Amino acid sequence: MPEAARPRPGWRFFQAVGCHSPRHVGLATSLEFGTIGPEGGQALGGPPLDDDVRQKVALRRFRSVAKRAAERTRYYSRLFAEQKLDPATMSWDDVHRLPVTGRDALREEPDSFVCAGSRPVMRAVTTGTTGPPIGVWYSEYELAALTGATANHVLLRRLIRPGDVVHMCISSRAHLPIVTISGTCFRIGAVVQLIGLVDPALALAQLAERRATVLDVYPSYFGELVEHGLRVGYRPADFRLERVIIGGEIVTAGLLARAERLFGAVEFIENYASTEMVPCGGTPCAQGHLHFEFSAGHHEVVALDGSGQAADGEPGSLVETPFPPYRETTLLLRYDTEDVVAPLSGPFGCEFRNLPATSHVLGKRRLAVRHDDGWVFQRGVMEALEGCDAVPLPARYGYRPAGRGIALEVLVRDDDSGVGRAVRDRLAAHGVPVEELTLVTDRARLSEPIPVRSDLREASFVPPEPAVSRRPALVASNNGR
Amino acid sequence: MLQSYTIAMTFVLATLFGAQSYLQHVAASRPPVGVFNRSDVYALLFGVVVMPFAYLAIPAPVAVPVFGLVIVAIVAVSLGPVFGHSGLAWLAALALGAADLGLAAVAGARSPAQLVVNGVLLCVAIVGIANMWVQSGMRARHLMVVAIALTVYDTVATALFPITFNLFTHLGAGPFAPFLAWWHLEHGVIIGLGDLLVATLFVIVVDKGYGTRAAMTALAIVGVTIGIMSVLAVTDTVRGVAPSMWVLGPVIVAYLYYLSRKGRTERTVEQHREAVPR
Repeated sequence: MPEAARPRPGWRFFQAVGCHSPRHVGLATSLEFGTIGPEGGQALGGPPLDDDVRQKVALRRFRSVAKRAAERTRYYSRLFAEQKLDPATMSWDDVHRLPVTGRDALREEPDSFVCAGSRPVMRAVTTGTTGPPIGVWYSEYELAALTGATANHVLLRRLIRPGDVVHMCISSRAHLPIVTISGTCFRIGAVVQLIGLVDPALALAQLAERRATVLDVYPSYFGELVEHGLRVGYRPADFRLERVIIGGEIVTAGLLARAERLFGAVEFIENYASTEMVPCGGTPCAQGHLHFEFSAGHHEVVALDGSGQAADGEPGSLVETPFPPYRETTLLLRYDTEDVVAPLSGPFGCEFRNLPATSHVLGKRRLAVRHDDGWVFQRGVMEALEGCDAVPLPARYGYRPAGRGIALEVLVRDDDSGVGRAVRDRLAAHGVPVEELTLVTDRARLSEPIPVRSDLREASFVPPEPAVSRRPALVASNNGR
Repeated sequence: MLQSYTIAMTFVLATLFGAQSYLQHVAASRPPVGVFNRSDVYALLFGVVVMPFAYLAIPAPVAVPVFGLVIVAIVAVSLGPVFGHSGLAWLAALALGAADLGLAAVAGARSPAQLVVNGVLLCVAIVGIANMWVQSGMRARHLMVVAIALTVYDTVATALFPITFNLFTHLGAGPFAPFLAWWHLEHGVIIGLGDLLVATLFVIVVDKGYGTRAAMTALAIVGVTIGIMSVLAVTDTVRGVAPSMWVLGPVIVAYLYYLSRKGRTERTVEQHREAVPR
């Protein structure tokens, strides 16, 4: 257990004068003017750097955090001693020789990663859909800095605006995003309500009744909302939703297309982040790249066989090292996220062309299946299934290697031959080789379904409204309150 | 007497209406990152407090050109967005500056022509600088701090000590005088640069934050206040230099406080621009 939190005099002073991070100036600017000036991006994030300079800066920062980790954490002092590496003089070859830090290591001994002398105040845990939850300690400074950085990012990209009504349909145990998004809303002047992962009928009723303008949601739970909303007859006119911030799982084109039938032409904003890695998140661009802000941390893609850095276009595991000043408590070097991406080399023609990029996340490494002609990843399967109307949202499925492809089981509405053909066609169109296809209409009959976050369903004392009397029930509900 | 009063008040009203029109039709330049904040208030007050002492400490042949350069630069920056061409704006500002300087030398420092040119220079500078601050995010709370601080300062510099009087004497006999003045025979009306700047800020801070109707009320309040004080000065009811912030300061603070208590949220620059598209 890390030592107890104590006040930090310097931090208190900076909080009092409101200048603890220069980035907060950007937040104030955005709040007053709606956006920073044309030259403001460079003023906040620094000038665009060429690859050489970027590599030099990244190596210097990597050495700095590695030195701190080797001196002040049990895990890395042991690791550097074993590897006989000097963190202060590491070259990129040395960095790549340093074994990646696996999720299991962090899960089993989280306190060994906590920096001696730090003042942790909150242990954020992962949701646990990919294994037992992992705990990560954060200090008061980190929470404030991360909230400030999130607010800045959110406001600069106009994701949340003053006056917005934000509903968060994420797990109530997702402590870190709840703290940072709520803090962001307070700072921006938006109102926020944590809905949680309650019965979709309740969440939809709240969305409609409270006239929410922004929804922050996991893709799988969003799928549940869309499925339920379309079934009971909600229409776009029932909502005032303008933007949907969606992430934490794979987002498919099929999900977004079906969501438009329910919510109309809303803006979907995807993000990629994790409890362990903040602020090393990814931002998708309009051209389908996933871009990483190199000042937040070091990003690499390691080949799936662990043989080294993945080549351009070759799928590999995303390995990240968050940099100070946003991380000072739980230090992680070369943390293996187990998310599979393919590195991309520029030049890019998109709005984030100065930032390094990979493909969108293809899926979890443990769910990747190798076959004669390549790989099967979750994304291909999910894009195929969620683009098929016969498959209810979110796609419920499971697969395992079989012959020259996979054996796939899928939950569908009806299991007639037409549905089977449609599903097979879509899978083929997405390059998913299916050796065996099993269609089930009862979710309980899936033998090994892949867990999704919407399975973290939360109970509520308020019973969901009956579907047949949805609209009158909403009115009654309003009057009742 | 009436002539002095009428001309001085014309300049005052032209400045107030001009600033409001500038706010509604011209986008003043602002830094790409940054918003008017407490530090700017402190810097503003520091300048107001320190500058008179600096001017009094240095000889007029040095102080006058320095003030002239500063005011010409402010006028050029203010006119830039109006003309849409910075070269043209600098040309106009330099022409006005040269006219002020030349007329003071040829026709005399208190000649009607020199007073008109000097008045125009000051009015444009006040319109520009007030808009630069307000369009950079100056809020009612900032102006309240400025008004209270300047009221205290006016008490010290004008009522208790002859600092303002000495400044008028020191810089008043040449070009680029930092006050709006009109003389007719023995009767003169003098309105200090700082007082007119605060009054102008008041009108456009209210316009930006609370809308045109509230701004019209603010304009009426300061117009009447300055008008009454000028009448008192021109009729010799009040002799010497009067600390006008004694009246302006409390009136400004009271109205801003009233607006904030009405439950209306003060608009940001973005919200003002959405409400008043250019």
